Amino acid sequence: MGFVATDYATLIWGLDAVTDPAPLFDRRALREGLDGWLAENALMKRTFRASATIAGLIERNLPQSAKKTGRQATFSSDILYDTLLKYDPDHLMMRITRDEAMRGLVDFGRIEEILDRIGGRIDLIRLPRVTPLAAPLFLEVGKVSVAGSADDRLLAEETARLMQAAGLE
Amino acid sequence: MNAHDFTLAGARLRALGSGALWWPDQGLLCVSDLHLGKSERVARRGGAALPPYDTRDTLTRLAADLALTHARTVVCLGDSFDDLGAAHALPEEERLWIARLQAGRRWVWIEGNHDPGPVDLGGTRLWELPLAPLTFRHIAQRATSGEVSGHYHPKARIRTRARVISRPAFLADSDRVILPSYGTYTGGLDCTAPALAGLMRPEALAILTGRNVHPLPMPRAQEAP
Repeated sequence: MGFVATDYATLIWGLDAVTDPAPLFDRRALREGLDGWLAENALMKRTFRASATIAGLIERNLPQSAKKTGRQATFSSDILYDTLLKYDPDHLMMRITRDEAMRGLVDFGRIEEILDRIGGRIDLIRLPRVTPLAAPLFLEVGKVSVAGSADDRLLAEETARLMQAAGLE
Repeated sequence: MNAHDFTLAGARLRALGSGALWWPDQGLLCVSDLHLGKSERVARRGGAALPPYDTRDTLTRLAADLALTHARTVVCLGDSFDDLGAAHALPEEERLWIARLQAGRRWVWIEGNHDPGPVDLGGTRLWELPLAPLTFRHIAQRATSGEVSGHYHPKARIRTRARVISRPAFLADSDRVILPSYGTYTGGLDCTAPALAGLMRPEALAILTGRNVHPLPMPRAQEAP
């Protein structure tokens, strides 16, 4: 459902508990997922938001300036990103976004190198508490949430519960 | 089909995940608040130069719904154009596209607050369209029943166990249904806003749109946490 990374650790969260980490590091799935992931990626959208703000397409949400600009139309950078991706993927702003996002963040060669080195030796450890290295991650700013199938599952669960509580189903 | 079926004043209706309303017995497809030409209007009024693909995207989705339903009648519930200038400034290509979509079917433009006048495109212009047992108009009126309207761009926010999710939504009760906006560059009004909360009956449903539709009791303000 989302991730956050610092220089020394990565935190990923999802709906289901991980019981077998091997499929997560499946080389083919990683490679195939990379393009789609890069295009739909929340990280790209966040990078895009920065360039869209500089280009004046959207306004930064600041606590003080909120609701005081007098401008009625504010736009979701996600919608702008999706629209450009669909109709004008080579737009200058999209190229800037890709360059920005690629800078040191996604280097598939290095991922493969690490995969070779670990060669399937992955330890899955369930801890009774949050580890000292993991704890700061929970406070880290810049969490990136990923809109995937988890959203629909969450909605299905919650709406079914509400409908039942209201006696409608 | 990704849809939720319900009845309004005896008419069997189907809320589609795209945000369109389908009335199978009449072969009627209803969409609201297309806001065609929005990027053009924003730029004309000195706002940001948004990527000008919103009209194309909205029409692509509309064409998909028409192909899916084979609608004989299309009702655009008002605010179909972001303003009259935007309607006149539509590029030739997009006008032809609208004409192609209109070919062979009845097409009704209901007038909205953004587009209260004639446009030089095919189709009938009406203030409201009565089609028993329903009435189609842009802005909901109190003390009516069997009413289909748009205008508010309703959205609903749901607190799930992992995170809050907000989506455009139909609002429906035994008197009326309010459609979400169909246009690509359109925002939304949360259904807890007084304008919407006061309009809907206590037992109203919100039907979230998206890849899967999710009906639920319409969220209200100051709900117990």
